[in-house]
Amino acid sequence: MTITSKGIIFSMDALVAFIIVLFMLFIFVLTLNNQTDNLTQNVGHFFLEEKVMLVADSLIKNYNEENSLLGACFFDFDKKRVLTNEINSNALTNLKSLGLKDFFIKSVSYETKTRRKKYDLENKIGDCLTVQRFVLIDGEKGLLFVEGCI
Amino acid sequence: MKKGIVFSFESMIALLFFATILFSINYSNFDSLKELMIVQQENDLLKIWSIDFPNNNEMVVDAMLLFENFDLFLNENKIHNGNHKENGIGSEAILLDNELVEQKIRIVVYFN
Repeated sequence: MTITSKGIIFSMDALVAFIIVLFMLFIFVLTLNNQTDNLTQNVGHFFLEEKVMLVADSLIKNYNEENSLLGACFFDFDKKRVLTNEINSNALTNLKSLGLKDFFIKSVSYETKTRRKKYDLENKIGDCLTVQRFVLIDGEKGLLFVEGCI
Repeated sequence: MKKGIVFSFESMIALLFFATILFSINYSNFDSLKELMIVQQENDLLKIWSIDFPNNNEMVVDAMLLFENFDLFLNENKIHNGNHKENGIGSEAILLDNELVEQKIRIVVYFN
């Protein structure tokens, strides 16, 4: 760049450097924006995935008389043992909402060779994810689906 | 000297720096609990098979309900072949069959 009595003259070098700096700034801002968006999405999705998996795991590994969403397995009273992955279909009639503000279970359903049933817990709309687990439902092999939303 | 654009050493460095930044932009991978989910589902299969030991066909049918791409081994014999990919997660268990004979089952699930 040269300053003369008539004004400022840009050299080719200065122009190239200036354009490159502008491009770099543009790319930096764009990348930062993308990364922030990705991070926000990741955190939201991670939170949803974690919660749905947690509830599904609890449902097929526990026995809970009050709310079968937290445990719908058979219980062997003689051996005092929860029969994990062995779901009692009657217990699924006692599914109750968790009552959380930022997360809810929309539905629980199961599918075997002979039966298919869905229990709706909430009618809200949200960003949802379904987790499927392999279980015995009243002694019959099948898939259990837990649909959770944020 | 011919007419044309001549870059100085500084602008060459700037250009190289610019190119380096362009090629080094790393778009972060989507973090998820997919691996944990697969392990849980593999363990579900092994758990159910430990209750009622199935034959080879039933094992494959059960596993196909959950996974698209997997290898299944029974006593080191492959009974189902999947397409190997970069990522794979395996689970192994020794179960007793209906005649109370030990059976070693290994399932390896492949995913992207």
